[in-house]
Amino acid sequence: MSTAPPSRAVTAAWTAVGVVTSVYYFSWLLQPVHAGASLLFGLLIVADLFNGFHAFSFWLTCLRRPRARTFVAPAAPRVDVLVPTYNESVEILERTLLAAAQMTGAVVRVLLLDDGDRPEMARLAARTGARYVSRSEHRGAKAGNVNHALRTTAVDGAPFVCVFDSDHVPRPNFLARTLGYFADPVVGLVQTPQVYANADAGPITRGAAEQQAIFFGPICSGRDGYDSSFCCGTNFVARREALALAGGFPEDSITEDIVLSTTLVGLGYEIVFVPEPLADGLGPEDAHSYVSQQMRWATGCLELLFRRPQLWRPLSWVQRWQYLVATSHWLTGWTILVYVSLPIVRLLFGWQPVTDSAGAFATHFLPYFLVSVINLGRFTGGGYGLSGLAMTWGSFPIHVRATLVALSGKRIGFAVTPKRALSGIPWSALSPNLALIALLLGAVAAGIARGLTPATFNNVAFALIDATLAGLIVVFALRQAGGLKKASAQAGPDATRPESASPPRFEHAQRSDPHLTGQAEPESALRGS
Amino acid sequence: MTATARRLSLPALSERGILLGLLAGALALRSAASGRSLWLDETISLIQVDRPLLEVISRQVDGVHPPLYHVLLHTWSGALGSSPLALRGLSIAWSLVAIAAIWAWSREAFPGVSAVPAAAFAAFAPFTVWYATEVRMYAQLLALTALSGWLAWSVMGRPRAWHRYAALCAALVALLYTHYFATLFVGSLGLVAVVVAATRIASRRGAAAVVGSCAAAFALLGPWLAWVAVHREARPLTTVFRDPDFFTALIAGLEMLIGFHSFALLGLLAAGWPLLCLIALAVVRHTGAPSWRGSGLAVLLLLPPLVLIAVSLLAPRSAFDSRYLTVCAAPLYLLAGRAFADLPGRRVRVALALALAAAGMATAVWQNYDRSNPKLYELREAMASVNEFGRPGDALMLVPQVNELGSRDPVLNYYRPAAGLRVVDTSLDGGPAIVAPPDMWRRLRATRPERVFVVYGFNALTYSSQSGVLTGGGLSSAYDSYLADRSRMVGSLRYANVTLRVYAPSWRKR
Repeated sequence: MSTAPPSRAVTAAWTAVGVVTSVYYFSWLLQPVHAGASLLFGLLIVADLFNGFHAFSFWLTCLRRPRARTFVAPAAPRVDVLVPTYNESVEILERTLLAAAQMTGAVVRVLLLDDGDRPEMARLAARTGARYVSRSEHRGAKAGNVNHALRTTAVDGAPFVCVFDSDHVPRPNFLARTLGYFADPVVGLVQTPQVYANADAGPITRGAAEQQAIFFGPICSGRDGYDSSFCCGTNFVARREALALAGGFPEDSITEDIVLSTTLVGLGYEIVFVPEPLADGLGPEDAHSYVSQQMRWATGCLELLFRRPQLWRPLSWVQRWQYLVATSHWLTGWTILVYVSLPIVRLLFGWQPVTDSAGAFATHFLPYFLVSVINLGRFTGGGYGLSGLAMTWGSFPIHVRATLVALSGKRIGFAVTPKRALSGIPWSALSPNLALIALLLGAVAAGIARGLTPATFNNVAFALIDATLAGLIVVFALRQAGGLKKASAQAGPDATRPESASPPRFEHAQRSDPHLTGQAEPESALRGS
Repeated sequence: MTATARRLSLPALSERGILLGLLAGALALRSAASGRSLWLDETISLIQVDRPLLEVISRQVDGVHPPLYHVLLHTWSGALGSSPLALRGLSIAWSLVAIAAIWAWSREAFPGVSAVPAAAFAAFAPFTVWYATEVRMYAQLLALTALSGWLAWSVMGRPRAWHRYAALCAALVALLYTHYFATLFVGSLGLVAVVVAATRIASRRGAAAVVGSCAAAFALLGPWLAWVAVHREARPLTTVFRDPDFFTALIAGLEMLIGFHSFALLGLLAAGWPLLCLIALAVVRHTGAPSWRGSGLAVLLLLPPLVLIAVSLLAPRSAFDSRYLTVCAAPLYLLAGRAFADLPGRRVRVALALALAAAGMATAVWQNYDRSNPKLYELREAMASVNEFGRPGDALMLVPQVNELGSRDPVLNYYRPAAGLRVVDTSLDGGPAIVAPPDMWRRLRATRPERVFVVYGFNALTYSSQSGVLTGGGLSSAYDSYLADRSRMVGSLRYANVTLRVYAPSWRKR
């Protein structure tokens, strides 16, 4: 069976259909004569317009081709590879350090930045030939750790700096495929995708991997076409001089990478995205890790959106649009909250946002929805499925909490995403999902008790969908925890930490992804042969 | 074969064995479900074929369908008789062909994936069982659609021997000569083939052959259409359908899965349409890297109803009826079977398969007894009561009466009234139009029966009479009111979509 990537022309045609169907839907929705309960109508419009904006932006971004850029392979420049660590295991770090030392295309010096003051890290560095760097003051979390290393190596430092998280193992050709972009003096940083070698560890990891695949696939590729790429914290190479001019990584943000990016752009540098997996990382292997990671990313991005307006000033309008899309994505949870509340209030109180007939709503909404789903599938090349969708939907409490934290200006500590699986389930983080499911099912029962009419059944159907999507993340967490428990039992009583459910594969970490091949397929190849 | 396909496939030998089991089960189910009364259209089929072969063909010039099914039914009934099971046997045979063809098509559409789910849907879906036990052309339509689809997919998949291309052409011609609305399928198939030819170099030759076959089939229908255009005389009796809306279309789709039930139940289930959104989200991955084999099926599933809806809304008269979407049933079952094969866990799939098969079989049988099924007409039972309670000299009327092509009413032709009962002909000039109540009363008065048995049915039908267009329901209530004013109602029996009323008219001058 053919699995050729979708034809670009056909995808563009579907996008046009998506625009038409969305105009069809909104032209119906935005008529005041269709308003039901005013508050609900208003909330629905805001939620739909927000998601409509994101859908349009997603389509326009994904349709954009990456910019053609100058690439001249340099003659083996020096590169300092920084691998910050806090509490990750020796085993994980050893893989990364050894792989970093074997990168080709440059003279590599690997530095292990130990913020945990662990003796075994010093021994590990010695064993692998890396330079051991530690610091006495532990300010600024990872950003502070990296900045310390930059200052420490200011005198003898290489002109290029490469950063890998402790669990991201670079491929040998990482530098050979990235350094050539620095031939253009305006390029300040080159970012590559994060892919997970352990996507099969369980449903949580698989869902997280799908989320990464959509972000680092068509979104980042298209964003690069708009000259709006940004640093993502690992798997990147930067010009030391650019970092120095930017003042290093900002230590007052937990997403120092995107904040740094705005500074670099303000200084006139360009950030390049290379759509080719060049390092293989480890995705969250339990629900705790996933929640922690999402909370950090959400809070940091929303902080940039709400509390750092000055950083947006140097950006062009197109760049502001792209950064707005990237940061406001974490407000999606609020729209989900609106959507899940609608069937509840209808079933419990009879209030509804729209007064037109059910047939009219369906006729206008379904084409928009179905074409959006088709476009989602086409742009992600089959790499994004129900797992990723359910994880996004089920993360709505995280988005809501992150918004409140970002608005309040409260500092949350930089929590390193655990690299080893933790057993147990973060019930406190998942309790909003469970509460929502209970509320939805209660509303369904109440609605049915009043009499099962078509209108009631329609809202029952919506409620069941919401409950399914909110509940899948709980199911995933339980299944992943079960897998970890089984793996732990197999590892034996002497194991101190649960092993991951399945060992990561670093040789060919990802299935073929049309957006992550690094080189554009010629049109004739897309037509199949 | 990919790892996924390996996981989903069954060994070839056991799959064929399961197919044979499905065919045996389907035959048993259809035999059990074929005991219901014939309804109007089925009795019309019999009247249309109960004449010399050439006349069977020529009569279809004035009919609403091409003649192939009628020719086959003429031959079949000539050999096997006209009992309900014998008459329905032709459709049963075609439905078994459809199951095998859908199985074969699924193997072409999804290589390496078990074709059993798709074949099982075709075997046990109440929709297919209903039309498999109806003396109409819809089982033949489904079978020829599936055969054409299988052959088209097989020649587009890889180069084949010449006889397969010839078989495809023959199947398409037979399809078009079965039902005019098969043009929806053949046109959609041609479109799919054009796109495949344009986008897949490896399939170009096969796809071109499919396009050519579709064109040839349309060309071969031409002579028949020309003959009809030149020689058509009588305006055929046509049913007027409602303009389709979202829920009409959705209900038609539901019927293809769960069969025929009360409009209230189907309307309630149709209100659950948001669950389609969940299904869409579950299959989003498959829209990403679509193969022509799956995308083509989606086009064959969706394009015919969209065209039918558009035509119905734009034309002066709606032509939307779920029967005409039989051409979409095979692609639907293929896609449903593929989705089923993707469910995680062998135990889940087996348990669900057994549950669905049991539910399908039970529903398929139940719809033959469910009096809220709008397609079930217990005419046999009503006529049996007429014959049981009627006395010589009593009058019998069928309302509305359908005199097809100059013959007597087809229902009365099959379910004959007892000797001695006087049938009052309410047709206008022996044709399909019906006289208004006063004229009916005049005809009744000519024989002054002591009692009048009136069988009311087919309220959905719309007839034209000299006084204008009347719906069957309007006609029935008009007749009932007129008779009630002039008679005493002495009995009333209700059957599925049929009512028998007995009146004792007063013949005193008013």
